[in-house]
Amino acid sequence: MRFIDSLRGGIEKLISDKNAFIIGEDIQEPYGGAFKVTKGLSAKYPDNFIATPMTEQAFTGMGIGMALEGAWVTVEIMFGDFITLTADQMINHAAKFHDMYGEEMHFVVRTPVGAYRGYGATHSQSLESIFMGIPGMQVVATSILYEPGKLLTYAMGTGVPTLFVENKTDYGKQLLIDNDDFWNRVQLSEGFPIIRLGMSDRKPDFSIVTYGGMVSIAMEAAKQLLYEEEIETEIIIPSLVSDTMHINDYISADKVIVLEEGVSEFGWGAEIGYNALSSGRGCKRIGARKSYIPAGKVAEAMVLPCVEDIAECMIEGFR
Amino acid sequence: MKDYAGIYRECYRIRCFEKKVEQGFSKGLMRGTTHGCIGQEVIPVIAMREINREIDRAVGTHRCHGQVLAYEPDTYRLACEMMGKRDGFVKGMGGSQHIKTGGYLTNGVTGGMAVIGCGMAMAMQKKKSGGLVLAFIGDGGFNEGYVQESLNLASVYSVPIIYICENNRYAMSTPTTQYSAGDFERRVRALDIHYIQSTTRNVDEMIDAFKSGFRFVREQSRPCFIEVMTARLCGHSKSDEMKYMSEAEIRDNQTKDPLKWLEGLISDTDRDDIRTEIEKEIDDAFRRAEECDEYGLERK
Repeated sequence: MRFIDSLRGGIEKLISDKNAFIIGEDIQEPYGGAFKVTKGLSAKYPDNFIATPMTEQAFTGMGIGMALEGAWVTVEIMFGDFITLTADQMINHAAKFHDMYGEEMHFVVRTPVGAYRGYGATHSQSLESIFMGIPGMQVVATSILYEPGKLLTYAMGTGVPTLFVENKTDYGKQLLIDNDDFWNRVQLSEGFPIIRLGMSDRKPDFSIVTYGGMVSIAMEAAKQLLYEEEIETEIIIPSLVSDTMHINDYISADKVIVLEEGVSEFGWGAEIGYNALSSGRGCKRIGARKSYIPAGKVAEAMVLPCVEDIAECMIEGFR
Repeated sequence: MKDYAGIYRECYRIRCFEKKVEQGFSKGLMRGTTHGCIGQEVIPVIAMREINREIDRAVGTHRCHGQVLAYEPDTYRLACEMMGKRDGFVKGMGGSQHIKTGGYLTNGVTGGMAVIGCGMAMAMQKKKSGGLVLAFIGDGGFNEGYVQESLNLASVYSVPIIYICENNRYAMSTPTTQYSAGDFERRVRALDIHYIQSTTRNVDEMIDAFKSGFRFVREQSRPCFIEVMTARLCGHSKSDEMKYMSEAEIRDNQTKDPLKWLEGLISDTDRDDIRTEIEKEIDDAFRRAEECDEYGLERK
């Protein structure tokens, strides 16, 4: 199954099971969303789709208002870069209503994040870490290792306002939800899944902790390092990325690499790394350089994490 | 015959409460800040008389004590909230400007609730509940993108929302007219929203204006915007000495105090009875609130 088909299926399930509404720009026919996630759905469920003018902060707030009245609301923000426009509603409204007023809110903001496609500085960022430290809301990240549609319906069911990030490069990919001929895929936790990709039953040399679109890069690097250097790696992929307290319990190697697509400095990796280091493990982090994301292919690649960064970190980084 | 005595009782309750809050800060009973609504009490009092608590919702502003007490005249619970005590509306966790009770909800970000209200109205339209949303905003908040975007959405989707803009002519210390292009009326009408202007200097007309606005929203299921010209007879917040207003303006505002106008319409006996009754109520509320305990975070 393709990533996008699972996601679309999850949205359709919300509409058929719940009093659900989808709000966003260009989500209706004939467009079906900038990344075609809702393609075909608005024709089938016209009453559940609310197409909007370009007013992200207003329609995010409108979704929150509907959620306060008991609706199950998904807001689509066309590019993850524009979640800055939703920030006040998410941080000062939804999160406060949930945390301070005790409101159960079935409210998710879905958005595509990530680079590697030449979209340039304001259409490529992974800004979700900005929201990870905010009490009263949660940040959930999809990957190809777990059905995004199931993850969406689960996140929606928690009643906690959610930022739900999807990586642009994942939409067309096939999901890896069974073991393949190389990876042993294990789901380590119920609820919000934590997935482990392992190579054998032995204790691995390295654990790579990562999420989202970085999973593909981590998998490629791990394979390469096994064949070229006989280094064995496990990859740990949480989905509730704003909860970093428990991830450490699932790490088996002594050497940990935290890999994220967002800027490394002040990023998610610092939290995971702190817990890893506190438990006596070695830890290094890899993420984007502190730069805008250039449109040019060569320069973009220099800013973003890549397979070579992981290889270099494993071979040289822990000496 | 309008219920002037009843309106006066509600307004006087809010006025006394706000005065008591001012004293509470000087005595150190309260922390943080407060935004008084002295002079503007009649706006939430008249507006809340038009809502149906079963099906309607109301969203407020930072200047919310009058809105809260007009919705739910429980001075004890509001006093507790102001003092951070456990019997407060939000168990003392919200404080002056973060209050939820029943179908009333407010928050401390200027203009932010206008879009939340728009969403509640959208939900009512989808549910066909027949309810409407009463959304208070201020003249300062009017220029926020939030309010402008909310007005556009409300008109485009034709949702049942009534905006009441309490125009006290100052965004904190900034004179609104100097920093607002055009005027509110033309900006609202340009979005095909039914506009009504009113003033707290003529409460009789204001009551009729509010009635016609609510009737319009209920019958047409379209948004309505009521701009109420008013005057704040106290500072913006507890630290405000009102140096931006001239002596003449302050004096003029005081002579046009809507409570004085209401007092002229009721008998002296009624006035004195109401005052005695309310003053005792407020004293009791604050005394009991002082005795109430605080929560830590264990309420969760």
